Order: sequence, then structure tokens, then C-alpha cells
Amino acid sequence: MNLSVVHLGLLAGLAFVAVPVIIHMVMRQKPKHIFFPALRLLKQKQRQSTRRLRIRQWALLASRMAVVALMALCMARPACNTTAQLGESNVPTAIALVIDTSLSMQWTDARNRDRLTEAKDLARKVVRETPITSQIFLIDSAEPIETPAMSPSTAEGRIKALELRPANRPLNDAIDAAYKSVLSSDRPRREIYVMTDLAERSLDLQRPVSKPTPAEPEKTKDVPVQLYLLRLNPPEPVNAGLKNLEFDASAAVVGEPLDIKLVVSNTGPATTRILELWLDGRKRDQRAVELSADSDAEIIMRTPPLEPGRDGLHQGEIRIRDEDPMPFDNTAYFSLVVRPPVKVLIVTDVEQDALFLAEALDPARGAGGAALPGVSRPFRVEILRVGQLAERLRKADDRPNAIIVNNVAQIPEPLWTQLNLAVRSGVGLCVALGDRSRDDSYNGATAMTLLPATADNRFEAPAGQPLHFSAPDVNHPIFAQYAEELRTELTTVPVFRYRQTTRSGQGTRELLQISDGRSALLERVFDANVAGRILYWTTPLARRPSSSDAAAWNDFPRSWSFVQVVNRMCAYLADTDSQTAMVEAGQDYLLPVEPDKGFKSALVKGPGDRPGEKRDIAPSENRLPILKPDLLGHWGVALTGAAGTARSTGFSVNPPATESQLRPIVKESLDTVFGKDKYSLAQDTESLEKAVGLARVGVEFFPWLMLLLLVVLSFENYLANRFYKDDPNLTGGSPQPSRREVAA
Amino acid sequence: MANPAEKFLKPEVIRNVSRLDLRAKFIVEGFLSGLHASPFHGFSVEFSEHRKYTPGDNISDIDWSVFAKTDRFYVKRFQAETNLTGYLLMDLSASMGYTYRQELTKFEYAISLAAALGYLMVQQQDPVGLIAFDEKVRESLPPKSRRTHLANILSVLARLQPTGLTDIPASIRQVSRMIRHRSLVMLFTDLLADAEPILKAIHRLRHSGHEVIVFHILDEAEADFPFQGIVELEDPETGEILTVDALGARADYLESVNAFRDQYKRDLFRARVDYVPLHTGMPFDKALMGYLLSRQRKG
Repeated sequence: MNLSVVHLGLLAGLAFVAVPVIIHMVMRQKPKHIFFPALRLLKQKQRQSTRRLRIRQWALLASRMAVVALMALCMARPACNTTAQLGESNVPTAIALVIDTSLSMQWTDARNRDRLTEAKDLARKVVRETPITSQIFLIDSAEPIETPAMSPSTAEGRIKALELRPANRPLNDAIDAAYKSVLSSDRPRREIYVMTDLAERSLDLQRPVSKPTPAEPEKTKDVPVQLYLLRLNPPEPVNAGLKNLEFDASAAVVGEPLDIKLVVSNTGPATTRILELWLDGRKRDQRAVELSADSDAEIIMRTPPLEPGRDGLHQGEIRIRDEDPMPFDNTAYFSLVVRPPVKVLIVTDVEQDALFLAEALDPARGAGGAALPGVSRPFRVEILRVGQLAERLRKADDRPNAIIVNNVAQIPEPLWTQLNLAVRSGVGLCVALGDRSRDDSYNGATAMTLLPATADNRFEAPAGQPLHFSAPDVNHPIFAQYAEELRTELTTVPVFRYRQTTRSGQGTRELLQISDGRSALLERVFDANVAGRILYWTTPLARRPSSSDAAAWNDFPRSWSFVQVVNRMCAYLADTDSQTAMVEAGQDYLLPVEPDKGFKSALVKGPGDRPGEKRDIAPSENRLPILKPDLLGHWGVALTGAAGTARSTGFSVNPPATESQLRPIVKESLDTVFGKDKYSLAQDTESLEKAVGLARVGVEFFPWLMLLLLVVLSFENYLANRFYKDDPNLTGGSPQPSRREVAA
Repeated sequence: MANPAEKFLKPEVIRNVSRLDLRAKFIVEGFLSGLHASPFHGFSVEFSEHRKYTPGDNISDIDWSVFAKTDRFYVKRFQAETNLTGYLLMDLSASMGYTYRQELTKFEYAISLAAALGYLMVQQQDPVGLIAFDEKVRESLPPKSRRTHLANILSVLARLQPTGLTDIPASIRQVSRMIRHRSLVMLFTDLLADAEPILKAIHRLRHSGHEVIVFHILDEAEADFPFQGIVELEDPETGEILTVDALGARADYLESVNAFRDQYKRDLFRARVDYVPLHTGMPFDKALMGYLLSRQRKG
């Protein structure tokens, strides 16, 4: 805490405290002389009385000195906590203006003014009130980089041009950049103003922000930087927003409807909102949603059966029909590429091993392929024997999307070669070991070019003490959709037997464990030249009625998680996730590109009038990265090849889900990020001015000093009156008797 | 004080009467007029009733005014038929000349009171004498009861001046040796000296068979300590100076004064000596009443 005064010279007035002492010494008031014969009676108490007299005289002298000192201090106007020169408004200042341009700043109040406009007005006010010799550093939270200094007039124009930026960053980065910017300035005062709604997402609460320490602190003079946080959050926010849109099926299949799952987030009182489903520019469905106060509701809307369309691309939106104070989250965009149903080949030695897999993937298959009400058919299952697989793979025009080899005793070497070729061309392969699997067939050289591990010993849990699955990799697409539910459910699945494995090389990844810590599911990750995906189960995807059966290795098919895992697994193997072309603003999107089609370039165009960007595609590239798309809506991509091949595709950009969260960050969290007393928090212009005044001028002691002065003055007056009160008997007329009179 | 004569009991009134004989007369008359209207009517010391003259009575006792009204001889019958010799002992110390309010000094108050008592005693035909002392006896008049003697006493009293130092115990001892017969000794002093020797001297006087009344006279300022602010106090006798905060010292001083008075009151009461604390602001009747009570006991 620093202490400052208006002018140091005024403190010289403290020297005047000597005046009462001098007056006391030089002009000491002569006490009244009175003859008093009974003095002997008084002398008995003389000591106490004299001591009391001295104390009072000292008290009087001290109070008079205090009066003078307090008057001098009052004139000097001391203040503490000041960090700048004297608090004068005309001191050239290095000002960093950090403007939060995230989407939550779109919230519009009753005066039809959004938060960003408020922030810009306040920023302009700060700039206008600073002297022209000041330096302004304007930092957009979406681009948290050190910026060159500009004059106040230039900054005003730049502030006006600021817009909402869907692809945004936590303010930590912007404030870090602001510190660096103002510290690079030579202006005597340095201030950072952060205009934000301080919504929960606006700061990374795990990452503290502070003034950077100079490289050589002992050689560098510490320069104070005052940080002002201007919280512009709505006092009572009301908003309904859409977030977390995803497809509730493993693949969008031609001719099948698609369930779209999303969350409607309601901030404010309970309300009813109308949701509309738009697909390819046409409204297809609508429904009323009742929303409780300050809660989220999960909604599923179903598209009509999807038509093949042009290149299979469909783009649509879920919209909240009525306007509210924050429009950006009233629309959730989606893009999808419909395909023919995913062809899954299930290869087993016995029918029983294919039963549960086929039922989980295509329930309608059991009904002879007839559509079941409310059940889509994203997968078409074929059950084959090993001997039939080689022939099936030779059908170039009917290539499967995924192959599951479940508890097969032996796969001939030529078949491994065929499988290898299929995987490289993009077919997904899943191998599940069981009681029938022979080690030599799965540990061969060709097999090992595909499989992530060698098959070792069988492990059998003691009777009545089955093991369980554990530790699923919930970030993997197979488990991600119902991560928490699966994490719980899988630990209840009994595993009686499994095959111990040894990971064979690089690129292997464990996705699920047995409860004894061994691997249950492994993935082999190939480089970009191999399009297909490999999964490797150490226990079969099948069950037997009796656990004592040698072929009964687990009860996984009895769990609901089996259906979920198998469906997500096949979608993953068939790479149908590339069909759900959606991304949050600011996150990179990897556009699937078929290397075999020979596309050379892509024209990427966002929504609105912004011209498209042409991108070259490398021959071996199967993903075209689109870096940090920052416009909300549907993006189109036109792929073209040298041989005249062309394909239209696209993707959708949605706002980050956290942007709908308007709940402000609490003071304790701010203290954690910035440090207690290291920043000033303001809510509006008035409180900002107060905070700035407090920081520049500090806490003024003037009123307290004046009060103290009054008290001391009263005390001095009281003491003086007690000591030197005129005696009415003496002043009334009769003079003091002289010695002579008394003697006479 | 309904009776105009009683106003002369007030020191501030009596100070305007310069002649001491008149002062004495006015004080006594004021006192007696107060007594007539008071429950102490039986204290009338002039006479209580008339009776018919019988041969052998003193002709001077015939009340001629009654004879003029009734054409018969009546003589006054005094309540106090016995004579009591009284001595007025005046302290001539310089401190007795002190006054703060510039009204009666302690000494003026004392001689007014002494004159009144003398007047009263002579009226009762009691012999009264006068002794004035400082470090020793300076003036003395033997006790007589004639009216002309009162003029002598008043003349001496008017001439007395409080001078420098005093030695009360020595003077009392000297007085004790001087007085042969049992007498009523009335001491007028401010007692501003060491208490023990004074008390011993008074005890000795008492043991000599004398009745003693001590009129302890302080100035009003000495009794009340009315000063304020920082004051420099000087003892006029010793020249000693003390600077004090008056307000702060007042409580202490009054405590000392009370202790001082209490000490005399307690010790003198044990010696059956009447102690009458006075100050120059008090009416004279209190002092006179003290005398009469003592006189009554002797009668």
C-alpha cells in the first residue's frame, strides 16, 4: 500500500507543530496570583495536584500540536493505495482496452443496447477523457495479441469497428497481452480496462493472470499497472438457447429419418418456446417445449426420411421461433452427408457368435428386413463364414464398410492379405478373440501388420468371481456419447475369460480394460495413408447361456451398453462420424476427402458475403483442415479434381455451448485468477469512475482527518476553558488584592 | 429574616456599619429579635418577667418604664441570675486579615462577633474581658461587667490589627496562666497552624477549669475554594507560593478542609469544648447561638 499527498511541500506545514511549543515556552500565560492563607491545607495534596496539572498541561500542548499537525495533513490531502502520479486526469497514460467480443456480449437490454455496444461506449468514454498524449492499446479478446500503440482519436475509430466474434478466447490471454503492451509504454501511468460481461466462460479460472515479472527484477523499477474489470453482465438475464446438437444415430442413412438431439437451455423464469426444424431451407417440423426456470431440457427432433440429395449433403437448423435478448443461440446449425446404410460383415464360425451382434446392429434384420416402427436401420448386416469372406471381399462394387471377425478359429494367410488391402482402402476391421481363436492364426506376420497386439495365454477368472470391464476411454467416439453412463455400466459387465495380449508396436491405443488391468479393447492407429480403422477385442462379442460353457467368455451382450458400444464401434469403423459435419466456432474442422477421388483443390466459403477461400489438397490427404472457422452458419466446400471430378460438401459452425451461460463469475473466482486486491471491479460508469478515482487518488484521509481535527479542536477548547476560565468574581469588579492590601 | 433588625446578622450588611459599637448593638438586637420569634424564646437573657418590688431589692433593678405606665414598682427578674466571666481571645495573625471577596476580613468578622458577644455579656451583667495575641499576648483588658467597660473593649477591638506571625499554642498557654477564676474563654481564630499544639493548649485551658468556645473563622474562599484555572497561591504569612489547577485541586482542598475541621470537632468534643466552624459569609447568629448554648449550660 502506497501513501501519497497532493504535494510533498505541503507536508512542510508539519513543522508548525513547533509553534505551540514555542508559544508555550515564550508566551507562557502567567497564572493568577492569589493570596491564600490556607495554603498549608492545599500543600498536603500538592503532589497529586501538580502531577495532574502537568498531565493536563501536556495534554493541552499535545492537543494544540495535534491541531496544527492535522491542519497541515488536511492541506496535504494524504491518500493511500495510489499507484499513479497524483491522480491528475491530464497525466499521459498507457491504456490497454480489452474488449470482450464473445457472443455472450450480444445480450440486449430493454433499451435495445447490447453489451458490446455498452462496452464500446465505455471504452470510447475512457479514451475521450484521457489526454491526447496517452497511448491506447486496443485488444480484441478474439485476437489476444500485443498491439501497437495508437492515439486516442485513432483508437476511438477502431473501437467503433469492433464486432462480435464467435471464435473467441478466454480473457486471460487478452489481459496477458494487455499487460505486456502497457509495460512496453513509457507513459508514467499504466492502466488496463477490461470490458466484459464476466460470464463464466469469459475467463479460464484455472489460469491465474498477473503482471509479468521483468527478466531482471533487481535491475528493473517496478511499474504499477492498474487493472479495472468492468462487469457488464445483465442484472436479470432472460434467455433461451440451443446447444449440444448431435445426431442420435450412428449414421445418416438414405431413406431413413434421423433423430437430432439437442439441449435447450433456459435462463430466467419458466417459459414455453416453439422449436422449428428446418432442413435444406424448408421447415419440416415444429414443437412446443416447456422449459422450467433456469434449467436445461434435452429435446429430440426427427427429420423426415433423408433423400440422397446432391452429393448426399443436407444442411439445416433447429430454431427457436421467438426472439429473445440473445439471438445468436436461437439457431443450431447442422450439416450431414447421407450415405447408403453401413454394410457390416460379421464373420463367425458358429451362428451363435453372430446372433447378438446382428441383433444389436440391425434389429429389423430379424424381422426379415421389414422396417420396425420408430427404429432406423443405419446398418445392414451380413453374417458370413471364413470361407465366404474371401469371395465377398472380391466384390469391388459392393464393398463393405466394416468387418467384424468374432471368435473365428483360423484366418488363412491370403485372407489376412485381403483384409489388409480392404483396411487400407478404408474398410474398418474389428477382431474379437474367443475360445475358438487359434494363436498362430492371429500372430502371423500378415496379421500383425494389422493387429495391435499378439494373442497370448487365455485367462480364466475363478469360478464365481468374474472380472469386469473398467476404465473406458471416454474421449473416444465409441464411449464419448454416453461417457458417464458407460463408465458405470461397463464395470458391472461380468468377464469370465479373456485372452492376454502383448502390444505389438507403435500406434496402439488401449480403449477399455479388464478390471485386473489387462487390455479388453485395443485400437491400431495407422498413418494418413491407411484410411481404415482396426479394433481388437480380447474377449468375444458373444455370449453363451451358461457361464460354465467353455465358449462363455463374458455376459457383455446382456448389458444395454453392448448395443451402444457395438453401434458406435461400427459407426467408427465405417467412419460415419465424418457425416456429421458440425463444429464449434473457433475449433478446427477436418473435412473428409477421399484420396482415391483425386481432388486437387477446395473452395471453402462461409455464410454471408465473405468471398470463398481456395485451398490446395495434397494427393495423400484424406482430411482437409479448416482452421478456426469464425462465422456461424453453414459453410460450403466445393472439391474439384484434375480429371473434372467435383463434389460439393459442407459443414456447420455453431456457437460454443458455453456462450449461452450468462451466470457471472463470482468475486472469489476473480480473486483466484487476478489475486485479491490486485484489480478493481466496476459495474457501470459511476462505479468505474469511483474505482478509477480510488486507484488513482487512493483512499483519501481528508474527511477522517477533518473529523479528527474537529475532535482534537474540541478537546483543546475544553482543556483551555478548564484551565483559563475567567473568574466572574475577579472580572466582575473587585481587583485582585495586592500583598499590601492583604497584609494591611 | 422578617424583622429588619435581623438583616444586621448578615456580614455583607454589617460591613457597611463602620462603628464597632453599633455593629455589636445591631448584631445582638438582630439576633435577639430572631430569638423572640424562634423556638428558643426561653433563652431571653434580658429578663423573663417582672415582680413587685420588695424592700431589700436593688433600686437600680426597678423598671422605671413600667412604673411610668402603671405607677407601681416592679423589678426585672433575670433568667440568668449567676454571673459568668467571659474572655474574648482574638488571634492577631496576618492570615486573619485575609479576604478574597473584599468584604469582611476574617479579623473584621471576628471582632464584629466578639463585640456582639461582649455587648451581649455586658447586657447580662456578666464581666467580660479581652485578650489579643499573636506570638504572645499583645493586648488585654480585665473582665468587668459595667457598661462603660464595653466601650473600652470595643475601643481596643477597633484598634487591633492582624499582623505577622502567630503562635496560638503559646498564647493560649499564656492566657491560661493569666486567668485565675473559672471563666468562659471565647477564642476567635482561623487555626491555621499545626493542630496538635493548639489542641494541647486548649486542653490545658480546659483542664484549668475554664469553659472554652472555639470560633473557627475561615474566609469564605478558604471554605469553598472558588478559584478556577491555573492559579498561583501565596501564603501571606510565610510567603510560600504554590501553583495549582484550581478545578483539579478543589476537591482535594475541600477534603483537606473538612478533615481539618473534623479533627478539631472530634478532639474538642472529647474535651467538652464547643467548636463553632464559621466562615466570613455566614450570618452571625450561628456564632451567637453557640455562645448562648454554652452560657445556658453554665447557668
